[in-house]
Amino acid sequence: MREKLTQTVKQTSLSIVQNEIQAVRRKNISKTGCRVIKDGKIGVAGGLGEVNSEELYARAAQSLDYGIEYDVDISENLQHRTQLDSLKISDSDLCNRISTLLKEIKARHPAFALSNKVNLSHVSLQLENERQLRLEHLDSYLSLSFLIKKQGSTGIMDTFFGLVDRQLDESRVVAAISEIIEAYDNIQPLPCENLPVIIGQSLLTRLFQRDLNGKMLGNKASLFQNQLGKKVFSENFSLQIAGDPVETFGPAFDMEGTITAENLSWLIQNGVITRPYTDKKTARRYGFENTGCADGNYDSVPSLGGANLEIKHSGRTLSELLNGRPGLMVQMASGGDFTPDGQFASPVQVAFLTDGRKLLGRVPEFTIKGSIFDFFGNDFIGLTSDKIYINGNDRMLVTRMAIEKL
Amino acid sequence: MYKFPEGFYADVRIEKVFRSLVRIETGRLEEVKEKEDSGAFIRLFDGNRWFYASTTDLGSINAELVGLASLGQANPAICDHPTVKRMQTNTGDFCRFAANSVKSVSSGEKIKLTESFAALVAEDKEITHWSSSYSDARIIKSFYSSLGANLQFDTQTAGLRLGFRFGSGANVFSETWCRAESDFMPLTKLHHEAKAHIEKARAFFVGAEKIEGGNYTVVLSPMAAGIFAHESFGHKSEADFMLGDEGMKKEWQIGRRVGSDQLSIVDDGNIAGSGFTPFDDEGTRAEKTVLIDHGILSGRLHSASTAGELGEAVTGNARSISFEFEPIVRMTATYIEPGTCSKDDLIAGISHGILIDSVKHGSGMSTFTLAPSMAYLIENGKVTRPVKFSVITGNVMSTLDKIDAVSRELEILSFVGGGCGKMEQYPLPVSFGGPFVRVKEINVQ
Repeated sequence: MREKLTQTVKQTSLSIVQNEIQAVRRKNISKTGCRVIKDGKIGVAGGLGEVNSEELYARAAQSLDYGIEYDVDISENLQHRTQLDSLKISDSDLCNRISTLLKEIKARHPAFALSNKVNLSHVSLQLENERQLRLEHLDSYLSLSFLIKKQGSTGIMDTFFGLVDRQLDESRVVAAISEIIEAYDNIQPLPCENLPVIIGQSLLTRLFQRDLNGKMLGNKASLFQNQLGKKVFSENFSLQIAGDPVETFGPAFDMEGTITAENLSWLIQNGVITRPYTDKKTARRYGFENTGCADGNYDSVPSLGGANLEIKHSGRTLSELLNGRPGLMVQMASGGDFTPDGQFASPVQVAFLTDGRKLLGRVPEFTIKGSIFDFFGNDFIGLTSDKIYINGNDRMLVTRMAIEKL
Repeated sequence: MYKFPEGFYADVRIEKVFRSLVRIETGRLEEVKEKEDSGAFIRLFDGNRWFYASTTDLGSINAELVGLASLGQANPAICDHPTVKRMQTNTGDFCRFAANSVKSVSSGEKIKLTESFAALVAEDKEITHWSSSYSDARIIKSFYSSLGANLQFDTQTAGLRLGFRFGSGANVFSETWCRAESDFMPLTKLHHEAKAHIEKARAFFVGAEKIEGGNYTVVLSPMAAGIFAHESFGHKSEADFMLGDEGMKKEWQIGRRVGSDQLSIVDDGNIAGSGFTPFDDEGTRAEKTVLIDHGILSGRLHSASTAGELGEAVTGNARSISFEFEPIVRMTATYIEPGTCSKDDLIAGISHGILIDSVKHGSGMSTFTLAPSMAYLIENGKVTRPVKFSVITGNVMSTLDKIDAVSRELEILSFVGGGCGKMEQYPLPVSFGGPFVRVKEINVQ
């Protein structure tokens, strides 16, 4: 059985230094991987640019001799296409519009400088095989990544704005950056009371990446080893594999051609750990359900990588979750980690006070601490239903953690 | 050869890459890969803006140069630009790994080596999850510029990574042993070292206890000291962060005191290992750059652009992760210079402190953190028992001033399976290290 995976990335990238475009990079790279699956074994070969598929299949067939097990049900009779590539901006328009945007921010905030990257990407991914599998993902999006630095500051960066979007809404971007800069310049004392912490969910869900991995549970090596089927977290806490390409900017299918069924996408439901995340091989080996999390490069044997995890949102906005009280919105928290038993600690380099509608000022650096069983347990407040534009247009996690001045 | 457009500076970097990978997980061979790719990165500069293209079609390079020139404006005085004036015009063949190329080692030998390290953990009843992997890369780069550079050089790494987890449930401990060399053969003699690391990790798993947070005197191992040097100060030495920022230029003036007398930090692309960069990706020869000399700021890392803007000399630190990306200012092999006392003398002066042996990761902005993997309590001048905690943290600049002793042992470590990240470019192979370094009053959490 033959299977082919084709990736293309056409990208225009602008390098920004001190609010000016310093460089323009263009690339157009295609990558092709061919797989041969035979007698429960797999061989893979890949190449860049123009390739001869027959040569790649021949090399893949040769690599069957390595004897790499792949005794799984091959995806078949499935066609799916996601087309999200409606964003059309010429390179010259992109340069002009970004230049104007950067000048506008400079005019409004002359003491601050923006640097780093704006990328316009057109990506495609196709996976097809001899058993009528044909999956295709087409997307076009802009990635804005601005390091924001105040004149005279000795650090590499002071604050940040990042966004991935399928449109360029200059006025909204300027407003968001202005709000961040104005709040950054308005220093407030760290409140004595322990306010709710508003934070990007991936920082605190990353322990699930490690310990809800099917191999970890299958080998009895997980922190949650004896807790499958048990209520471990808050009734309000549910965790899902995110699979909607509109939200994730990634394909609906994994590298084995699985599209995760909705009922299998829940790893934690109402506080109960229901299943690990898996690919086909892990699911078969350990007797779990396949949740469609096969990962890998275009020329790799598909294997279990990470999962794109998302907490179920609460149906309430940030201001509703804060319920009239202020919260601490964490914007930069670099260097934190979990201990093996689920205790987390991290310095918070930049955080803002907010009432859920606007930023009220910046607080000095502090430390957050907590146990995963608490901040997703009794201390869990919820995931916002609204997307917070100043934080990359993502929904944000609201919970309680111990806060200590640095 | 290439037709460089008039009125521009332009260069072409061609990379021919051989890579292989073997991965065994909990007893099963999961992946064997050998691949050869090539691609080119083309740059053109008109004195005002850079224009870049990357391509896998090596026959299209002249057409790409014409296309890039159409985006810029020809500048008859381009050769007088401070950036262009700093471009070196090295010529010659500096390849050194042709005779012992990892390409000439068979897949069978690589699989056998990976299996031999897997055997160190495969039958261990206390280890619940493990992986053993081998990876190598030989990259041959050719560099041509409109100024006449015509250069060929290569880099090579071969390395092993053994990851293992002891225990189950809340009582788990994960550790990694990783080594990289410039050649395949030295890897075949490292089983004893790997086994010793596994046993050290087992003792840590069995005996480590939590400790109270607070301020401790901390001794950093060469690995921890290297990560600290890289994350906390190395990135601040990358001069692209200073471009156009007068405040930053004033703050980071050469000659300013930035640390204690004990502290000297160096970056040197000539050192063999994963940071080896004999020439950078704009054809500049590697230099040993002293960043801090006994506490005094002495240098910084440059590309031609940053050196031109700051009126300084190039250092050979313009690097990219592959032919798909432009070179930006990056570290190579970064380390703290050794001192004169022994490790034992350094520890003997501590009544209550912590030795950080291995590290999971580190970061450094205004505040740095190191997340230890294995750490030990120091009591009355002796290392006594394993301890666990999340991170150590502190203000970068005040911590540099709290270094009060460095030992005479120097170890520079090389790795595979990861590297340094800077914005979109990850992972870039680097190496780092140092002696044992003693720091007063570090916050432990």
